[in-house]
Formats: sequence, structure tokens, C-alpha cells
Amino acid sequence: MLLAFERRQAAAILEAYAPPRAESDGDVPAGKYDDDAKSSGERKVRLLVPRPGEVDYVGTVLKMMAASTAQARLGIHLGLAIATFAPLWLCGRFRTMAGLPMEERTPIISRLLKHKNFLVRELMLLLKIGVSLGLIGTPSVRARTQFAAARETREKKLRSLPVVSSAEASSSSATAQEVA
Amino acid sequence: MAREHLVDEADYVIIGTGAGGATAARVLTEAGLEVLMLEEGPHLAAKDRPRELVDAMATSFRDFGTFTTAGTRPFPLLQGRMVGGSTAINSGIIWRMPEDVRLDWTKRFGLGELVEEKALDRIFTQIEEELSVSDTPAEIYGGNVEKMAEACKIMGLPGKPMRRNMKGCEGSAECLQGCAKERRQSMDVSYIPRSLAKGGRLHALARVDEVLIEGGRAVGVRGSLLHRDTRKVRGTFHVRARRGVIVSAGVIHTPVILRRSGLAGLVGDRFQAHPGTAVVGRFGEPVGMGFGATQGYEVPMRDKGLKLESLSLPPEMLATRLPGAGVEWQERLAEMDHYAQWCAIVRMKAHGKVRPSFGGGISVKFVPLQDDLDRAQYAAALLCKMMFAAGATEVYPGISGRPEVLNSVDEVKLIEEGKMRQGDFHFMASHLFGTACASSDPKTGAVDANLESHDVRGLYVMDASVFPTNLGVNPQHSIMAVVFHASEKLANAANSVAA
Repeated sequence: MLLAFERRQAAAILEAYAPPRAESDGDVPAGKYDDDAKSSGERKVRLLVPRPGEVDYVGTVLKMMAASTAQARLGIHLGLAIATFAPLWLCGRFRTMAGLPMEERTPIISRLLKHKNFLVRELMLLLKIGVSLGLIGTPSVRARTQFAAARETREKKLRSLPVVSSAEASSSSATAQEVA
Repeated sequence: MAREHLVDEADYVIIGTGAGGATAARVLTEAGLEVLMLEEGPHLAAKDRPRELVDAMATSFRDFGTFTTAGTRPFPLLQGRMVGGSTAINSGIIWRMPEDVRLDWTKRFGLGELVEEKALDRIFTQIEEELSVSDTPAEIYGGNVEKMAEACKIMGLPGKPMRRNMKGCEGSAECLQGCAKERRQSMDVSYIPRSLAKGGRLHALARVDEVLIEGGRAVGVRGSLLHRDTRKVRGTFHVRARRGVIVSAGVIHTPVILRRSGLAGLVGDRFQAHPGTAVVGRFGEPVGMGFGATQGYEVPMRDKGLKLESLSLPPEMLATRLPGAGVEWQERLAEMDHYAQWCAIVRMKAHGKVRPSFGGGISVKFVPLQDDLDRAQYAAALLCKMMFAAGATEVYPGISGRPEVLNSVDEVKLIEEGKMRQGDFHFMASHLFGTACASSDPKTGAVDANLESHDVRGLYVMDASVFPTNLGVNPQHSIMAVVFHASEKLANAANSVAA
């Protein structure tokens, strides 16, 4: 559903929404989240950073395309084309996105997401949906977001509540009996 | 390879298994009539529904949720595509038809008999008992709902827990993917098994292409059998309907099937919707959107044609709502348990049209009026203020051309000021209405007060397509009640003829 050229560009574009880092480069200590050296004044900022190759963005977008309308599939092709040649039409550089290093790709994605043209920014948002589905849909990455932590805690709390039979609850206003 | 060809026959053939089709099947089978349900999507038991969002959406959402309105400023129209229809992906919110709507339909469309007060009260009560409708209990509010309740208390807004069709909901916040424990009493776990137990039959992955009409009467349907994974055509079917055909394929597909079957006139007109816009707030402490009712709290604002709702999203979708790319986005993603999201649904006054288009496509033309956009703008600003009232440190209004991030309540004026255009919002609509409106007068409706076509005998429409106006509240309960009542009358008539 994507040509070889498109696949190569797609991998470079989609990855640039949330640039990966190798754990071995020493900047990402193990812990609750991936940490990064970026500091904001005194505050150290935590980032969600995928490992290289940890997320299959192109595979996710292909799954998405297979189930989408023809219009949405066309939108993905068009969005990829717009982003592929954005270095040229947005920055005046004779390169495609795949030809740029990561640190130059991400700022271009940011600019495209805020572009004044409705079509450009909406198509970049469509690609961001694919990126989000791939990134957070990867179990190892999702675990690092702590999204499910609240559920686990609250479910434990629920399980510890007394279970009262409905007959007992409705029979009188007397104190209900704990049965389990 | 030879293509499969299926031939079948029943008293009534029902197209679609959502709130309308399943309710019709429940009433007709219990009246002893032979019913055959046809569903384009797959039949998935709760244990077989994929838990990963990308697979869940590919399996149970129509077109992965990418079907949109036509035009240069499209927005998605969400619909389910599996046995149970949209009830298998919604949050199970239950609202009785508002009294002003009932009176309006009676007065303007001559539907007094269909929406007669005592009959509807009886049916609403019966459905509520059968589907275990109750208020969302406080134990499963979850942080998203608790924050909204807190904001309502501080701002003096009339918030309240939602009523939902749940049996022992545990707050897994996975309504969208399908409740793994079958707590939500969607049609696939309630009225459809009940109908099957009473002798009803069901063909899943069977897409109706056309209603067959002979001598001014609906006599059956023909269509295509679909492959489960690829959705490609693997065969054909032909089903004869001895007594009638009931079209319950939803507001988009019902008029398309009818038009492809030769009906015209008002079919496809008067499309209405409740498009929604959402606001995300970031908090200093964990909120825990991952636990609690997917939707559990609401603020009805009927006088303004608005309803505010808590809306917990799967993390994949929440991620898309967080602004930025690169470090800016990744910093927000690292605290995904710190967000709340609430939305506003707008009872839009605009009317649109649904038509089949070339190549088997469908065109939905719908352009909100400026008044609709003004109310959406008011609602978005109000949601931002509520987020700050609840303690949010950052608020993401999700509106193009305005700041992506608000840092204080004083900045909400940047959302309130000036007129907004349709393209500024990221609307999404799942409450759809009209397109085969009921009216006792054939000049203003496609079906009569018994939901039978004015033009073709034995052809009934039983879903939200028959609603001549939108409701301003969640439509599932009203769809079920109106269809229940019409099906009772249909069953009585069929059985008295047989007797």
C-alpha cells in the first residue's frame, strides 16, 4: 500500500514525531520513565523516549490504511508527500525528510503541525494519530507512560471493599454483613 | 474458487444489529415471529475482541473511524461495524427522550401515536430494567470524573453522574474496545442473544446492497457476504421476507440502501448531528484516566443546546490530543496519568444530506451554522475554565488558530474572543439523526407513524434515521423506545392477521 520510496520516507517522518534514543548512549537512566538531560532551570524534565526500532510505525500506519476509507488512505499518501518534500518547500533545502538528520526533522514536523493551511496541519495530525497508535500501542512503551498505574491501584482498592449480598442490603437498614 | 451463495427466508428481515435492529428483533421474536438479522460487521464475543486499540478500531469501527463529512472542512462520523452496531463501542449513556422533543414531534410531524407519553414511559422503564440502567456509582468515577465533579461544584454548574446500561461496571475505561467482562449491556450481549434464544437467526459479515421491491411491496433483500479479515466479497446472498423488511443500518447507510433500492424523495435529507469538541487539562498530580467509567459525569445545558461530558480515552488517542512534536510532546507523554479530558456535544441546528456517490461511496454534506459554531466556542471556553477551576496547570483547547496551550484562566479569553470557523474545531460526531424522517405527512417524511415507508408497503425503517429532529441528548435509549413501540404494533398487526 506504500511504495518503497514512501516507506523509507514514512519511517523517517513518523519516527521524527518522538525521536528515539539508544539506552546504551548513557543519557537514559533506567527508572520510572526515560529521563533526558534536558533541563528547564532547576527542573529536570522527564521524556517518553522510544528505543531505536522499538516501535513499528510503518506497520501501524499500514494497518490503519487497510481499514480506512479511500479518502483517508489518500490523505495518508498526501500527508507523507507533503512531509517528504517539506525541507524543500518549507525550508528551501534541496533534501527529502529521509535525507535529514533527526534533529532537523522534528522541528519541521512541529512547524507542519501548526501550519496555517488547514489541509497541511490536518494531514500532519492524521499522521500523528498513526504515530500515537504505534508508539503508545507498543506494550513496552505504554508501560513507561504509567497510564495504567491508576487502574491497578484503584482496582486493588475496589477489591478490598466489602462485598455485601443484595438480599442483606435490602432486608433492613441494619449494618450490612461482610460476606467475603 | 467458487463463490458462496446463500439463500434464506424469514417473516421479517432486519438489516443492522445496533440499537434499532436489535430492539426490533427482541420484540418480534418474543411475539413468535421468525426474524433474520443481517449484519455487515463480524460477530465478536467479548473474549475475541482485540484489546490493542489499533486492532480494535480495525475490527469494530466502521472504516477505522475515518469516515468523514464531505467538503473542504471534513470531520469524522464515528459508527460501530460489528454485531451490536454502535452500542458495542459507545459508553452506554442512557437518556429518555426529552419532553420538549416529544411534544415537537407530536405537533409538527403528527407522531403522537408513536411517541405517546404513557406507552413511552412504560417502554423506557422496561428497557431500563432489562439493560440494568443505573447512575454511575461513585466507586468507579475515576479521576477524570472526580475532577469534573469538582469543577462543577466550584463553578456552581448542574453536573450529575451519568445513567448508563451497565451491570457491575468495574471502571476499566475500555468501552471503546468493548468491555472485556461484558458489563456494558450493549446489544451484542443483551437483546441479540435474547432474540437468538427465542428462535431469531443472525448472519454476520452479510452486507445488504439492495431491498427487493415487487408490486410496491418489499419482498426481500440481496447482498454480499464478506471475508472476515479482508472485508472483500466472498459470496452473495438472497433473503426472502414473507412479511416485511426492516432497515436499521444507521443514519448514514439506511438512506443509501433505500436510494439504491429505488426510493427517492426525502430519503437522505434532514441529516442532523451532535458534533463534539474536546478539551484536555494537565494536572500537577496524577489524575488516572486509565481507571473509571469511560464516561461517567455530565452537565446538561439544554437551554443552550449543549451537554458537557467527561470522556476518558485510551492512551493512544489521548497522546494525539497532546500538543507538539519532539521534546515538547515527549515531555507531555511522560506524564500520561496526569490528564483529564472533557467534551461538549452541540445540538447543531444545521441540516445536511446523505447520498450514495460513485464507486460505491457515500457523501454526507453537512456544514454547521455560525450559531452552531458560536455555541461550540462558548462550550470550549467553559470547559477550559472548568479545567482551571479543577486545578489544571495547562489546558489544551484543541482549536486551530488559537493558543495550543493555555497556562492560566486569564488566557481563556483568547478562546472566547472573535468568531470561529468550522475548520478551527476538531469536531467528531457519533450522535446522528434524520435521513428517513418519520412524519404522518408524506410531504415532510419518508416513513409514517408506524415507521413504514410512505411509498413501499412492508418496508420499515427502525433506527435514528426516522428522528425528524436531533435530541440534544444521547440517542440510544430513544432509538430503542421508539423502535420497541413500533415493533410492538407491527407484531400485534402480524399476529392478528395470522389469527
